[in-house]
Amino acid sequence: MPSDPVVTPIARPGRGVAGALLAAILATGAARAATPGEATDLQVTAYDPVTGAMSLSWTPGCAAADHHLEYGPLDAMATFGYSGQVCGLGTAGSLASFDPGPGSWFFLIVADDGVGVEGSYGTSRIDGALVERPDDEADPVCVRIQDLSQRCDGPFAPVLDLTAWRPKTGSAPSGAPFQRWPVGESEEVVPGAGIRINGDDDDADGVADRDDLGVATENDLVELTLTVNPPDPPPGYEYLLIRSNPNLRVWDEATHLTQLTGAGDFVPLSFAGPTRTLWAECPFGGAADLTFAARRIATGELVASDAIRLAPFTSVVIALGGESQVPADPPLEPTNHGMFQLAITLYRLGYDVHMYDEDVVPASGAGAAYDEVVGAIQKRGVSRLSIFGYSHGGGSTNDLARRLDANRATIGVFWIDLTAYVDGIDNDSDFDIDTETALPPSTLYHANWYQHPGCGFLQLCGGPIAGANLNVNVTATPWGSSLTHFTVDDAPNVLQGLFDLLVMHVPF
Amino acid sequence: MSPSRFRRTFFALLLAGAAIGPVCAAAPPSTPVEADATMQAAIDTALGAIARQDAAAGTRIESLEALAAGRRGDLLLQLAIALESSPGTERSMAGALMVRRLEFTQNEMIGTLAPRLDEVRPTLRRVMTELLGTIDRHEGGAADFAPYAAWLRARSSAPPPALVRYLYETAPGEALRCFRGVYGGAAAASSEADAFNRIDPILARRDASRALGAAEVDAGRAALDVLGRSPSWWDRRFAVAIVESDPALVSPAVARRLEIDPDPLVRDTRARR
Repeated sequence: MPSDPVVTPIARPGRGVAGALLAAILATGAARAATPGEATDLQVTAYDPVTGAMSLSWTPGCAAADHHLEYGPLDAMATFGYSGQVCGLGTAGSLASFDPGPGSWFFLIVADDGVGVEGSYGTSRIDGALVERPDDEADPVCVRIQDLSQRCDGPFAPVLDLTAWRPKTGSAPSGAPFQRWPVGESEEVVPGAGIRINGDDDDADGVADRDDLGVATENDLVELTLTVNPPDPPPGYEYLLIRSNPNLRVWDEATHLTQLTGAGDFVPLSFAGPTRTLWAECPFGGAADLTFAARRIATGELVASDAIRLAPFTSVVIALGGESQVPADPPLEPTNHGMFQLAITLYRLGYDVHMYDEDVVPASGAGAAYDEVVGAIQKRGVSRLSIFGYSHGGGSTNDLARRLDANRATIGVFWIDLTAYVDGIDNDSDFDIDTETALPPSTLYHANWYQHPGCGFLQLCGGPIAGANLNVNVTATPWGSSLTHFTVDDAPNVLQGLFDLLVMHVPF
Repeated sequence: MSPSRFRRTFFALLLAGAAIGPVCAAAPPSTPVEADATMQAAIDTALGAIARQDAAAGTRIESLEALAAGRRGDLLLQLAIALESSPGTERSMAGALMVRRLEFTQNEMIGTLAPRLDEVRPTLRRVMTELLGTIDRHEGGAADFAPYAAWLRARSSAPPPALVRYLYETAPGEALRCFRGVYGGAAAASSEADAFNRIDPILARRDASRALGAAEVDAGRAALDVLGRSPSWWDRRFAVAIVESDPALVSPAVARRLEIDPDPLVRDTRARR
């Protein structure tokens, strides 16, 4: 805490009464570990009654590279009306001669970093509480910006942040990559962020990744960005990462090479710069909290912290586009590719989404999307599934669901919570134009949006699906009467309807 | 037959097949497949009309047919070229509608596309094989290569390697049945037929959700060992297809032998494309 202010009234013949306020500062420099502390013990060590000049001494503020003096007329002290500065007082803690001129004055010493940041002007006791004195914002001589956020002698209050990113996709067979997307600050604890259980074998070396070191194609770790200011804590403090239980491991590299977490749940952290990237792993399941904290070593008190909850995904979502639609984030056509627009929205919301070219799913249903789902169920503890697609992607939705259902005995336990077609067309070849009419087997809820304006010889049409929970002929709606096969997948009502159903039926 | 005598016979058959057999000789190149500007413009107009659900779409297609003047094979090739670099669903699916509307016969499809698969770039080949997919699949996607048999029998030269590759990549067992039926005569060697009958159900059961059992691997390897040593290229090509899809079912020795198979139809695998 800054010292209480000291007022030193001095009488100067013919000049009235002068007052001196002793101040101390903590200031923050961007490149400094901590900002200057308070200069204390300001004293007038000599006074020349003839000239009125004073000699001053003070104890320099910690971490100060320079000091300056602020002064003003005594009758302006109540409002801290600074009128002048003496700059470049150095760090010796003394000033041989200070003469503000005739009259009565107040003055104080402020520590600074010698560049552009100044610290505290000290505090005044107002109604029994210490309140920071206002700084000299005009500062016409020695221009400094006040920063009290990391004062070296004050309460250590570092600025720190822990950001988790949505899961990685993009290496086969997990589908097209998404842009890196951070978990929102308001979502970090509730609902938290999803993480894949790392029981698969991304590098296909016969060893489950959780038991493997150095997995070049690892894609099941969650990226963490830790940001801190200052990077070096002051003596008596440390930064650390805390896990609430051993359900999580933390690694230095995305390739599962150097584990930070050991037997305990506390890991001291050092920083070479303001940020550090780590990778979280959920090897066997179960949720846990990770907390990035600054701790007072002597007492164990956490002086700053940021936490995030990581919980294993229970579901996967498969998104399939129409013919010649290439999955990408951002979408290759910003006002088109509705299925991929929706996939991106769901991914950012926190689902484990995998988007594919529909031709990844042949008529047999096998292939990369099938392998991803099977791997998720067998190796990552997933038991819930959603598949949706447009045009040929609708046909492929049925092909994929059909194969999954046919192989339940060897795949394991899972539920197909939601399937959806948007103007589904069979996909036995790129030139198939037959309407998809089959209900995906064992789906718990099937939604079907289709357009049906008469369907002549040169028109593509979806159609009703017997047994579907929701059949919407958009042509018969006020909002969809003009939609065609080529626009129905981008219709806001269709995308919102599918989004709402998915959020309702499919857990993270 | 002693093992050494078998090997001599086997390699003699291989060499004979490679040197003189019609099944292994390269087909002569056909006319290069190039875009016809006039026809491409007419196709563009028709595709645009379909994509817009324009009432004149039917008329546009009739105009296109008139322009083709009965050269339906040329029309099919030009349509394939037009769809090769389709930028989106509109053009692709409009193309599919046009193909259905033009009602190409199986003979038109096979006679036009199959002999040219080897001479075209991969992206165009992909469109052409997808067009062939409209005639060689049952509803639900199961392959049926019977339509190719008559065309292959009528050819005096070897089957186009790219067609062989396409069929084996699409459905290896069906491809083997097709080529055996065409080139193997009425009586396929019983040992190879038995081997195929042993491995076919194993392949049908394989799935990403289960690892093959040791007994299945042993049985599969034994069967592929027979097929991989067959004097008939279509049996050995089947073995190559399994090397690519299910390498665990192929013993390393058989895989090495197939890599240096004297018949280019056997060696013409995915890696060489």
